[in-house]
Amino acid sequence: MDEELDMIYYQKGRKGVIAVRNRRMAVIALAVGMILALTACMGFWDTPVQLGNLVIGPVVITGTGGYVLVAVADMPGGGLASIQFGTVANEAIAFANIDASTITIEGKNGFVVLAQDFATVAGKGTLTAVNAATGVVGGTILKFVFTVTGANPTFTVYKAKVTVGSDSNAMIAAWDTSSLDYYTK
Amino acid sequence: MTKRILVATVVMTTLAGLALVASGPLSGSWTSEFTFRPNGSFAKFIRSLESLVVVDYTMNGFTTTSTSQFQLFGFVWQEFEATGTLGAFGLQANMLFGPSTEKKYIYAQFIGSVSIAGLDVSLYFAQLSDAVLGGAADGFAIRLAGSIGMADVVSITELGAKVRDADFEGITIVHAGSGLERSYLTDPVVPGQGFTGQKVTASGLSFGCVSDITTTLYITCAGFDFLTFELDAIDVGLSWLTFDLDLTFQTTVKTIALTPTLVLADALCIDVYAEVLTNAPVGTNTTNALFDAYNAITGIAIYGLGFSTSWNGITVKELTIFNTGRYAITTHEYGSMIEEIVEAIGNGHDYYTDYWELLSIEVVRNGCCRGTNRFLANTYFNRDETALFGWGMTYIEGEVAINSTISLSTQLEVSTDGANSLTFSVEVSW
Repeated sequence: MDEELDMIYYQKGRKGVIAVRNRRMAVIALAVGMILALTACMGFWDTPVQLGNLVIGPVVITGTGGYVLVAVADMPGGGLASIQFGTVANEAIAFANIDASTITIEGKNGFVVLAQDFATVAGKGTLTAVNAATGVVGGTILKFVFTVTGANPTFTVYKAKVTVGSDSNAMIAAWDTSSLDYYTK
Repeated sequence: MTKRILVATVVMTTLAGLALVASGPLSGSWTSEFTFRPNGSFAKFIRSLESLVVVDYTMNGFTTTSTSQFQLFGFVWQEFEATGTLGAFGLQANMLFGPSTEKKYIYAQFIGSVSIAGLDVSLYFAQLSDAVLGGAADGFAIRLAGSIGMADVVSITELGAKVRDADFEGITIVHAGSGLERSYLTDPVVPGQGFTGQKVTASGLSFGCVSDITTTLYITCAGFDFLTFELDAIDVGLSWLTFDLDLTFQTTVKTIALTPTLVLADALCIDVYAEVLTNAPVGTNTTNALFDAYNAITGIAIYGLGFSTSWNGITVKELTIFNTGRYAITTHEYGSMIEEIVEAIGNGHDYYTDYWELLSIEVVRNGCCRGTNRFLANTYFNRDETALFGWGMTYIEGEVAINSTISLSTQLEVSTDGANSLTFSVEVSW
């Protein structure tokens, strides 16, 4: 009988210890959670604000032909709705080892090419494209298809000469160009 | 931290894969597609080359899948996936690599879930490499789902990652050179795993005479983000008209919008595509809605007609669009359906911009050795063309089963410019 009572007291004592431990664990977990939340919310682990990006794909060779995809990522203001690659005699596109007379441009995701010129200045080009339906936040907007004329053809876009407009009818001021192999949308 | 997680994930995936290879049955498929541009110059003759190899190992309900995708660009994607259950736990792991680029490792995702006394608990983890614009990033999310009374409640605690749901789209990773993409549920948004957001959604709520309310509260580190109340298909006593109500509170803005929907009964096999017009300006989320000063219903527009009938393995389908400025017919890969252009772009669907009418005939017959033979002819019409009946383009596809595991197919696209593309495909499954 005495042994049974001792065991009951012992078990009650164990429960008390376990309860105290659970409370301590809960407090510790809560404290750790609050510290994590506060440090995160104070910006210690935040990434810099992701700018909208114009993604210029690599030149892909298919036999003696080739193509380049131009895409956007994280475009603000409801997405990209218009883009102008410079003007005639102040072109934003420069290319080498590509036959300018063979360049054709396909609009993607609703984009339509309004005007283009790849003939006035050798090795340079300009175009204007718009999307009347909606803005594109992320995805391909243009595909340049052409014939290559030599080894290692290049296709370069000069950001300073490019102007972009958003679906909310405003010019997008803060944006960047990217030549990384992958982007997200 | 991130290296340890990466190493641990690689080891787990490799061990699981090896275990299943050693003892599990093998299945899979290989699909290759070679497309030419017959009417182009020789330089542009090759239009695309794509190949997809999928290999599955299954053992005791646990499946690992290897997916390899090739294109003219090269070896674009290599993905490993493992799904299955371990006791009471549901597990899924994904790893994505880009073999053709300098930095091979792209993305990893792990999802674990368990149900405890009616409460569904899920843990999401994802990591994005710095080879991707916006990376490096990694994070967790914890999802709790259950019922309280008549209401279904979902809580998502974001510790550096967002999960695909009605408000967020998960993550889609695009290969800039080829445009090929892969999508996953978990979107890591910051490096480190601190608290970044909390979202609570309750649906099936009732208040007063209103039932089936859905409400969502979202709080981020920056504070209150939004609170929404949604009520779908409000019956106003008119059998042909319902409204969807959206009430949104943001820090300094409150908006309320009603979207009218026309309810049409089935009219034999003819589908009428119609919408209620309002005086709201055309734009994303504003077209045909009622909000602010735009509070008038101005009419009803019929923007398309559809007809479809099938008999004895033959299906005839016809689609007509009256408003080609806002609607389009999607390509055959996306179901040849009428879709609003804004939605098609948002959904990543390809569509035809030039054609206002489709006439489609599809014949499906049993082929050799339990396979299926199929023939499809889609003819499109263009108002600007001067060909017979305004013919614009015809797409023909034929598929022949060699046996139950091998099939050959060819596709031809002919327009007023000539033959645009000729494709040969082979699919082998085992």
